[in-house]
Amino acid sequence: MTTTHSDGGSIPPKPAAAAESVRRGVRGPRAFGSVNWVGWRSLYSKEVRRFLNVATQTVAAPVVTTLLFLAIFTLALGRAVETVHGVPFPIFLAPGLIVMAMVQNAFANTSSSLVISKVQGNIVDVLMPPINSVEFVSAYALAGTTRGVIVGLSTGLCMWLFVPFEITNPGLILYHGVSASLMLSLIGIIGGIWADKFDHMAAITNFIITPFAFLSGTFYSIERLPEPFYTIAFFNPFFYMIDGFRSGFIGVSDAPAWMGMTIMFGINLALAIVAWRMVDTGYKLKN
Amino acid sequence: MDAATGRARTTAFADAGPPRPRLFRLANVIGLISLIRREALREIRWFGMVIVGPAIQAVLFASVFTLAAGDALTVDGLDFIQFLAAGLVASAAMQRAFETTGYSIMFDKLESGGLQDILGSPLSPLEILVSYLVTAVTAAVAVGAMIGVVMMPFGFDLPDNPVAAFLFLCLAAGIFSMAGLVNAIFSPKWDSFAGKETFLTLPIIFLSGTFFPISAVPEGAWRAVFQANPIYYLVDGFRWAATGRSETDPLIGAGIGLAVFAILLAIAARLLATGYKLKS
Repeated sequence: MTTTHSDGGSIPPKPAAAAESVRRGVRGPRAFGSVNWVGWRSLYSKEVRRFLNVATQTVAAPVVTTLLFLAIFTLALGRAVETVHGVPFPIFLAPGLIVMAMVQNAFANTSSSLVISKVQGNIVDVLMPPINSVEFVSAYALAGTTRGVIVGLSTGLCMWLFVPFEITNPGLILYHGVSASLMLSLIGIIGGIWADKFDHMAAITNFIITPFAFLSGTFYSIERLPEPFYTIAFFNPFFYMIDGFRSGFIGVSDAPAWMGMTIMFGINLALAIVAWRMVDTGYKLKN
Repeated sequence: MDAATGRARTTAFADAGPPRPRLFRLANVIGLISLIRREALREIRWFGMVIVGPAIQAVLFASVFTLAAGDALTVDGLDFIQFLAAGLVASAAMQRAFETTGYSIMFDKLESGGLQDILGSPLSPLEILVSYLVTAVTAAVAVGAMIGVVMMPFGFDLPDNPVAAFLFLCLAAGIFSMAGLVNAIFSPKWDSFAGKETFLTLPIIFLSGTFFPISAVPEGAWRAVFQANPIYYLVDGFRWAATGRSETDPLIGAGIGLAVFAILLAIAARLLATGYKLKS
């Protein structure tokens, strides 16, 4: 403690760093390599803590809602639809409901965070620090993915108590669970940047996310669809994630595994580039 | 000029004595209408958004059930879409009623501080309750009617007994508007309000036979749980009025509904009168 605090209000350098800054003459900017790991980790953990703080609302609530859906659809459809793809209807249904909960929460995490920050005006706090656009997008997207995965694990565990499903291919489940959450996190970032108020966010959820999720084969095999709709279903990206994720449980899928995996990868890449461009150019963020 | 008016007022004051308090006969009608208008204006502001969400949800539910089961589903000879549409109308109305009063009180309590203006106004607890009730029931019935219209392309018909359908819907909305109000009074934060909505209210609404007949529930303990839900009888009563078919006697449904409503109304009135968690 050789430094004193009385030298006119300048920030007292730490003893160890003092000699270094004297040698350089000034206290230079903090140096970091090609990636600002401290900044990235701070932004990521801020986003994760944001939802863990209210885990009742962000993790427990989706679990209850999904179990309600399971009850409703099993009870309502169970008498008419006994098996799909050779497995009992509840076991066919469960994986789709898990993915739906995952993606809805991944989307909610990134989009609500950005819209709230924009409306409250504290978005500058994440735009000003030395975090570049790649770090910005990846921190938000991975935090959203984290929420999706946590919701998926909790929902899956609770659901398993009622519907004892089996796992046939853990790799497919992991791949599609993560890439589905990532995809909706990225859509959430894009939507959150585009939206000016909460109404816009509600519109995206009502008109895009919910319909796509509902009509993507969670509740039925797309084999049941009449012709124009059968082909159209293959253009719904939500179909591939639910189909692929489910095939990790029941071992049967509507589309070939390689096709689902490739399409999910391509979509995520495209969305990541769009989100990165939006942040990089400062679209609706910096003006 | 100031002096002149001041003198004039003093003379008038001296002549007439101190101003008398306003007297209300049966009810403070002006206050009642003002509060209803205030609540209605607030509801109208986002009514478009409030309608669109449930309407899309209803269409999606109807599509998904039709796609998944086709014509294989009938409930006691009743086309499943008819069965489902009645349930969707009732559940959308109940949810709307709950959120109309609940969000309004939560917002006034936490964000705008406007709740003090209402509590401080010369309105009795019952008058305040009636104002909230009228707005919430109106909004809920409007949402329910919209859902009914949206379901018509799927094969939902006009109600068999429109008057009974209207009354059942009003009763269900009344119950949930009071429940929303009680919930809001008990909730110190938005989180606690949302928690009670997700973990208590939505399960009660969704498991009240809105989407499936009780005969689909396995006999035994589970069915007993479903039958213990008073809202089940109410929804069944509404379904009788809308489609002409029900599992229970609609009069029993109406009776149970009225009893639940009376209990909730009494609780809400008591909370407002004692100022529990509101006046400190």
